[in-house]
Amino acid sequence: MSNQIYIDESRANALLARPRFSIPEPITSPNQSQAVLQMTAAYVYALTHIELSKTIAAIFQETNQGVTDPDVCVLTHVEPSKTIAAILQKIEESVTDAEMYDDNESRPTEDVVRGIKELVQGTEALLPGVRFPTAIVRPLDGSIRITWVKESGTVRLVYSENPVDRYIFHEEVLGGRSYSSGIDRHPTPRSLASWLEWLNSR
Amino acid sequence: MRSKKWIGDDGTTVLAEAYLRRPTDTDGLSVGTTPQAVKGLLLRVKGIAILRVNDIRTITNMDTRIHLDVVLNSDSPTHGNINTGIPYLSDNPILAEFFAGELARISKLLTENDT
Repeated sequence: MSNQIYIDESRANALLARPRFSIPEPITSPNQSQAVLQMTAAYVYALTHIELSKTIAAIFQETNQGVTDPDVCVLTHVEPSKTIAAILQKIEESVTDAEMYDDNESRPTEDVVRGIKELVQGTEALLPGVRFPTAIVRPLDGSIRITWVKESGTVRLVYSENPVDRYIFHEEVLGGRSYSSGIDRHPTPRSLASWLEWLNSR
Repeated sequence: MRSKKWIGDDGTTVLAEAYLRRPTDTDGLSVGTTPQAVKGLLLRVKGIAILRVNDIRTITNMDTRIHLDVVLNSDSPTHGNINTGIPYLSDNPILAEFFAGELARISKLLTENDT
């Protein structure tokens, strides 16, 4: 069970400025994952923003009934490596790191770097407030590979110069072994967002 | 492992990229029977991963039912290849990614002390 929920930073600050939590209206959707409202109470968990809004509303209903303690919430920042935006920096670092390449290995072209960044940026816009497993970024033979791994699954975006060689690989993992894998050969922000939401829900 | 990119950012895990068969891997994925044998390949080595042969043999192509295996070289019995059915990434990315992920999951990265 996670004990973290995400809300917009300005909303979080406004809430924390209150002597008690008394939300006049339910929060309907989280915004960008700029802040996390970390609950020390054990009953909070939310992995999708739909569940999140329900959970937040439920929490505050309870707090309004005097269940909580004034010190229950602490505002912290989301770990940078867990946001999609942070991947842009990782892409830059990995493609410029000479140790990431074998002798005579092709480097990703500027078009490949720009293309995968645009795809990631487009995906971020479709996933407000969602956190992910830490991404691993690696160049390989002119392509760039971004992998999100959980114990229960993997999503990997592979972006090459040739559109035919671009894909999203996804697999479910059970007991440390893959038992269902596939490839989406048309990676778009929407398809990547869909697979990342799938991974996040597992 | 010849490259830093095959090791996770935390420095303790082996990534699937280590087991993708690339155009230069004409005989399959090269292995040694001991860390010393790997070092003896005279390659630039960034790290050494250990895999149990029995675990490798449990990895099966779901379509053909053929499992991976290690074949040792007749002229150099401390070296060999995982070469049964691993496709080149460019030929069959789904199967190549599947095998690479499975091999990475059964791998353990050796530390300097281990070797």
